[in-house]
Amino acid sequence: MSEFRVAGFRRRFPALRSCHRNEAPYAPAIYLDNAATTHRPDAVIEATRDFYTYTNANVHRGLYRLADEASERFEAARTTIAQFFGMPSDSELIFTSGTTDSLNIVANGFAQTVLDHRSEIWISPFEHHANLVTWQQVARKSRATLRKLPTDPWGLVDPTALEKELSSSISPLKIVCLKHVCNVLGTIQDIQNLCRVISKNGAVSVIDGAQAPAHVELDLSSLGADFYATGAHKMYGPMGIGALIARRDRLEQISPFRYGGNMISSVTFESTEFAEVPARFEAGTPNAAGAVAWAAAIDFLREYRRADLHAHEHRLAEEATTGLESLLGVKVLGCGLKAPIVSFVVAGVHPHDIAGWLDQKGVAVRAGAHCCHPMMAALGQVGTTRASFAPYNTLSEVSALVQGVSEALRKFRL
Amino acid sequence: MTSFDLYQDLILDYARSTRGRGQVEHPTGRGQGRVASCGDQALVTVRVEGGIVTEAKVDCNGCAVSLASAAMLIETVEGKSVDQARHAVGSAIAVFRGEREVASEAVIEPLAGIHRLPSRLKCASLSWHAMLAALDDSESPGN
Repeated sequence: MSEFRVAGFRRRFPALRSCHRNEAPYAPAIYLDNAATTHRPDAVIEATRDFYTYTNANVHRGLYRLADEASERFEAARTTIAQFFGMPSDSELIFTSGTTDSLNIVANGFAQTVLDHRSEIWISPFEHHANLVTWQQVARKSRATLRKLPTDPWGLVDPTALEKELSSSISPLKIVCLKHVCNVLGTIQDIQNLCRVISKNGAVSVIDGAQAPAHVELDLSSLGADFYATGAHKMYGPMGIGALIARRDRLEQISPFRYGGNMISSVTFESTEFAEVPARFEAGTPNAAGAVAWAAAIDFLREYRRADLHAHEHRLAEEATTGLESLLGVKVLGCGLKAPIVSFVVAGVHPHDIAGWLDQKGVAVRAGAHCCHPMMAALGQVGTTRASFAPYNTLSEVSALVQGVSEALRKFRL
Repeated sequence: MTSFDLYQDLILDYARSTRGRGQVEHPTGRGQGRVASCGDQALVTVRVEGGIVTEAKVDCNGCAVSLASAAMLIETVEGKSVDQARHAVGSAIAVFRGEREVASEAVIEPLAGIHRLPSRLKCASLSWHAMLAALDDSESPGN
């Protein structure tokens, strides 16, 4: 276990060591868009290179040693990742291309086959488009009813209020869709109690876990979610790989809807018998290098005490919140226990201009609707500016953020 | 990617300008634009009389770049024939995209480098696309 020191942690990320390639004055950017994607440490980049250099073969196909090695590394990665998420069995983790893909698999492979006009899909306007749009489409095709989850003004769902709603519904099949950690506000749902209520009322829970793994200790075996969708690239892993995690009996309720190699046990000209879970959902050549690199990200994280990483990033978020709120007209959104995501609005200044100005000062933040248009409507905002932190960020970077916003206020109040 | 001063004073002066903001009364054409990534919208209304754009306005909730660009749009098209306006708008969009050089003393000159910031290209061109739709609408059979 390595002792966490920001400088040492930071040095392990090549993007933070290198210069911005074409842009004078060649200073490394202050990267505060970690909720969009984090940087990757050397270990992850090296794992990708190593896989393609030393074990490059297609997995679960070849009858030669190199192919066996590739398959072994791929399956070892599945074990590492499943264990990280607290799953007792590797067969309860399907590799996907990311959180969005995972949600689409539940929607199209499970929900689409079981929902009908008597069914209900419960979701709130605070969900990411990856969740909301997906379920809108399923509702339309299956003729299920899209129902609005009761939330507080920041999108948090109270388990007692949810219990009241679900228990009064006479629908024979209810699916409840929630994001664990809000990508805009950083708010964290009481997901364990919500899943308990959902399960108690005979409903199915589908959790968007895109933001959670970097900031919340997860034990999915006790969380109680029926389906948990997540991805690698917001937790220092590579882009283009994620997972759908669920108990085996739940996964077996999903009908395969992508067909191809690797997902079959036997094929005749007339019909096909599908392979066991998880292979039946992994048609075609998987992102094996991505899986190996994701496992490397987990090994990297395991070198540190998660509590140390979380304590540092929370301090950054608190400093940012305090600094920003000290500026006249700046309001930080959200409340309660939060992941280190700080979304704010500035009276009279468009979020794009805050982000554009900060970019000119070398500070990278996200601005806009964050793939959450109905959420913006619910908040009464055209968009927000969002700074999101990782343990490699520093207090001086927070100061640069606050200083930049302070300058933007003087520049843009039109 | 070379640097481009997005917030030079001339751009901010245009953004602060209220010229051409709002909606034309009794327009002959309307056009709408929306940037999907941020939700910003622009509604362009025009009045065309005798083949001339006599009045044009933009109702926009966008950032400084889109507000400045909208003010430049109005300065560009008012008083021109519909064909001239359409040509000028098409040329400006091509300049924003970096597909052609900006003409000397063109009103859009301060935004000519916007193609170096691809993420802001849509902010600059939002109202111009809406203007093309408004001009088409003005010439549609119902008008």
